[in-house]
Amino acid sequence: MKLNAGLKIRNFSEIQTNGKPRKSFLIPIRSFIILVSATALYQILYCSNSNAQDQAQTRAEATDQVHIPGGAYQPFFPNSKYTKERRTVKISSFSLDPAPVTNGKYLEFVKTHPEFQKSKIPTVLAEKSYLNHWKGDLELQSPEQADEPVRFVSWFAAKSYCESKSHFLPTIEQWEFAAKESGAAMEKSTAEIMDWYAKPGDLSPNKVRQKKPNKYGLYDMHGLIWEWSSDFNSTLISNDSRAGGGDGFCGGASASSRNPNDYAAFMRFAFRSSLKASYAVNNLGFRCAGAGK
Amino acid sequence: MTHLFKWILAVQVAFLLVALPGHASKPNLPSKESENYSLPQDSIFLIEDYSNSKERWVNQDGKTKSLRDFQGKISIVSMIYTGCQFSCPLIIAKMKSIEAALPNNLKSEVQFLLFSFDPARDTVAQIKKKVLSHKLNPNNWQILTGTIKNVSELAAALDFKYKKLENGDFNHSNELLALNQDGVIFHKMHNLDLGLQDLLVELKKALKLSELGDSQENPKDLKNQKETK
Repeated sequence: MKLNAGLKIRNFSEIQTNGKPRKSFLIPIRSFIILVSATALYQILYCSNSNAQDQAQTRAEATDQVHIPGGAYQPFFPNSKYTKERRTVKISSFSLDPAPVTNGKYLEFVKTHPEFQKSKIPTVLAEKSYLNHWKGDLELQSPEQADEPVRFVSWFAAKSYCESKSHFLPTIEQWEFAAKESGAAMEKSTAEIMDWYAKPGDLSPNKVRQKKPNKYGLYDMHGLIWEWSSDFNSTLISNDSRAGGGDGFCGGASASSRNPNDYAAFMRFAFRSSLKASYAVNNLGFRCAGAGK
Repeated sequence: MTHLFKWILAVQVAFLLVALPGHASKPNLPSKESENYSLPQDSIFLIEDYSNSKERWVNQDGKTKSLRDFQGKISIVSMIYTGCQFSCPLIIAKMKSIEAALPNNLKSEVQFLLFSFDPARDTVAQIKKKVLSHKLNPNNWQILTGTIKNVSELAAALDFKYKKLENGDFNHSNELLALNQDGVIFHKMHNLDLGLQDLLVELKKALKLSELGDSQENPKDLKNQKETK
């Protein structure tokens, strides 16, 4: 995917030493030096504040998360493809952002972490579509976009955002545990999810917190966007023959799951297993988790 | 106008001189002057510069290694754990067959790197044992053990899937990757049952181009340039 991303960032010294300095060449260089030093100056002034800002923000955000008491959870897939025993995993208590991270919050992050801006992030961390829905490095399409969930973010970028708040991305198990519903609530959310799957994927999502939160007080766990997890790359769906491997059959992986009727969960696992850490795709955002009390 | 320029420049240079020490102490901020910019932006080696962690890898001799330390040679890379009974010995065997297929004069241009995703159990003593038991040449082979955090970041960058199981074993991809001298992936071997033909063709291309002189150049780019001409 990334192999042919040919654009290379080079030392500026190379550009300058390419030819003998000529007078006509000096003029653009002079304004260039001024531009560079102005940028550096801006960054220095900004960065000297950013640590304090970060810390203040971290304190504010730390109290902002929703506490998720621990409990038992039956993972969607059993431990190994050789056993179908019903395995229960104990989840320790943790905390989770009540809603997906918004464009507005992500904008604050790239202001203080310029290396994660659209034009600066290297392709090894985020493919070219990163923040595709923004106008520029520090510019959204519209003011309304500030309250919509951020998307077109890679795993590396999402992870760094959470770490800047002393948080982390939730594991698949933490996320699924917090999203799990039962009875009437589950039927309702399944219908919602199916509705969402049926919509064309290129529509921009609604603002966060427009619907009722779930039993923990978490908004938009379903029906708005997909979300990154720290261990997205731990799902090895092996029982499927699309890669030409052999003994599986198309859709075979769902047969080994805990509950083949939970189509929504299966879609999430299938989606996660198709991701790469540098992917920046429409409708994929994130929220952060924190340590339990 | 020229005076104005000079004044702006002088003031800013003064600011730069005063503020640079503080600036340099802010971690992970790649500035134009930093060494990051000598690497292509799809280089795996860049991920450590953007990580908030200072944790690094340790090889079988207990030496600390940053990813950038592997710059300059072609790397054949995989991820394993030493407690692995079945697929990891196969991965090592496959890498040995690549080593054996290299012409003698090119052997020193290629290094073989195995990163462990089991930091809990793969101590330096443990990986040293593995190097010895598989009779790996310590001059061009390294097994490296890290931390949960850098394992997760490297696996993500290499597109390696892995999951720790309750019994301490791992489910994981069985893959080999070839990285050029700048840490850019130029070949992936997803199926270890396949022959080495494709890999060796790519490897020779990468080596031949590096012999032509500019080892900083990304062979992919050179190739693209040639094709467009």
